[in-house]
Amino acid sequence: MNCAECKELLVASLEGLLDDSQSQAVEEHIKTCEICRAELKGLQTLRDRLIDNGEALGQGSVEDEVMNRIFREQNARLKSAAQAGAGLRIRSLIMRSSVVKIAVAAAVVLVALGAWSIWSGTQSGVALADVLAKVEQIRAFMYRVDHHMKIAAQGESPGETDTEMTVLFADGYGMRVDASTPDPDTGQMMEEQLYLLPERKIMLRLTPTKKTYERVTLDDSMFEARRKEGNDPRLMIRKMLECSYEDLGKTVLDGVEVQAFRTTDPAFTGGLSGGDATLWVDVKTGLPFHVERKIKLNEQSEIRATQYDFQWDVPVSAAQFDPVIPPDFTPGLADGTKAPAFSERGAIEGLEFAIEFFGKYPESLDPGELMRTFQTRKASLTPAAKEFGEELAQAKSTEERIAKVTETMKPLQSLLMFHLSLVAQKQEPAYYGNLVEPGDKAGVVLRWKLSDNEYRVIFGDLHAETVDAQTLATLEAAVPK
Amino acid sequence: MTETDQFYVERCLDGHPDDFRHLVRRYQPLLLAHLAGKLGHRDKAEEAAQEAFVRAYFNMDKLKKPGSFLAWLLGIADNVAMEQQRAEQIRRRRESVRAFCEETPQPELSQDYALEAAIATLPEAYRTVILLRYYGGLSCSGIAEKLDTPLGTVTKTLSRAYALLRDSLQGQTVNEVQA
Repeated sequence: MNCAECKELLVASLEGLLDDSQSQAVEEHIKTCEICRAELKGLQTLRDRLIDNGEALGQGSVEDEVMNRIFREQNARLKSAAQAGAGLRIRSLIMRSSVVKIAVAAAVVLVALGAWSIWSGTQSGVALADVLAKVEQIRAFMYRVDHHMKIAAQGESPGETDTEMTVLFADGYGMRVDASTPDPDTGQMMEEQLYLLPERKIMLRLTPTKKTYERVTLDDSMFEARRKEGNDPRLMIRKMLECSYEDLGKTVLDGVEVQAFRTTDPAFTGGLSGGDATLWVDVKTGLPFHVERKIKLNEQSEIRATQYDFQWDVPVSAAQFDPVIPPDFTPGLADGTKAPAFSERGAIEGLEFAIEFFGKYPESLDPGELMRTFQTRKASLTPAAKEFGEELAQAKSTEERIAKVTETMKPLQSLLMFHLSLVAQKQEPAYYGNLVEPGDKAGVVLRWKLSDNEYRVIFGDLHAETVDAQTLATLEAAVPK
Repeated sequence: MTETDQFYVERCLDGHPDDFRHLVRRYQPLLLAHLAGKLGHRDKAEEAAQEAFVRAYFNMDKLKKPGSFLAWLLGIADNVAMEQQRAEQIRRRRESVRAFCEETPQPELSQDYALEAAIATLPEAYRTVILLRYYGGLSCSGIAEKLDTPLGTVTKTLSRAYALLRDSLQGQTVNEVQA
């Protein structure tokens, strides 16, 4: 063995990694070579120093300090309502199931849209003619919302999220929502600004935490209802009063004399059954003071929202509704998409989608019911569903999966939202998708009322016609039971 | 203690914060060595190590590959060390301005951590092997398994790391003598 060969093996020798013949060769070489002996000694000294230092540092204890700090901070974070969801309570509550993640992500946007429609009149919202008449006079107002959502997928523990929002609504400008909402993937709170700008027909979502923006084009149908009703406040009031509600009388809330009204009328809760809403009106001002809304989607899923801290006739500047996208923000996954259309056309597209995906029409248009159908149905029913399942499996992140699902399921959302708006506007919708086969030219799938003697009908082959009451009666009698 | 990093990361994410203790125990000496080398003081290293562990815990959901916990932890520790150094620099600058002293004194490096300081300057591959071997309590075959490399490569890397360390330590001595 020469010196070069020996030096190569010295560290391995110190580490005890040489086989017998190598060990022996190194040993013999060292006996006769002073340079290599010195080299080994140098390495040995360095190794001893490394071992000593390693042992010394191992004796220090940051462990207890670290764990104490973690428990302290975790508790502090959990106690602070503003940061609920922060810390690592996270994954146990925020959902292993992507179904739940997606439902929650979709629902957060729907809540914002829902808040919009309460005030824009597609849902009858805060009731009572005189209260409404007063609200009508007000050009700009803001309020806060605490929103709690619990959504369960079958066989999964429910996912829960708490979102806090400040909503500013101004005639002529639109709506702006500043929200703290949990990231569906991690549960960490994210700050968001959401703008609904009717003039520009867009919804813009800025997420500073992720430095992303998303511009979503809104369909005309979202603004149609508002325009119609805005032109005829009497129509709106009449509709409001068509809701059945209960006067719970006067009481005092936070030191303010209020009168409470309660309704479980689906027209009030956005067309969803299982809804329950109570409105407290400030007796002195005649304006809404506090609203509690609860919607039970199914046994384990519900949405609760509290609206409070109403401020009326707040000063508004154009700048508040002129969002600037910072130059270092990049487009998020939903950027450039279109919001689902709440129209007849959107509904037909939703039904087409159902045939392609499930091979038949949905059993029911109740969102809770539909969610259950989704979970129990095997995704391999149709080639389209199978293909989508595969595409979804390839998504790189939950965020991407959510974006894919939201985009793909949009026609279905259109159908649901259109149906909900028909319920809310008391247009007497009836749905027979569970009884009528796709392609049935004479079978009524969905119908709603246009005027006293006029009904609109979407048939099994997805063409639509306007018919009179008598024709409708005949058509409906022919629907298989 | 025999479970993988990934196992404990998953446990923490599933709501068992106490299992983070195992990761702290596993990497404490290694992290302290890494930070002592950068900061030159045991107290400062301990402070930074605590902060790095706590930050790691609260950001664990952002860890993309739970198997790469160590590399990720060292990255966090580097940030903490940098922040500490910056704060220290500002403090010193303020002091020296106050004292009308033009020269900012170099942060003193206690003799004990000259070795760790030399380790901190090693290229990453060598540094990792040294840290895992002498501060992480792993054998060479343990390192080979953890890094998914052949044992031969680990011993070669270790040999080279020894050579670099000795050069670096000799350089330090020469500088001290010249100073």
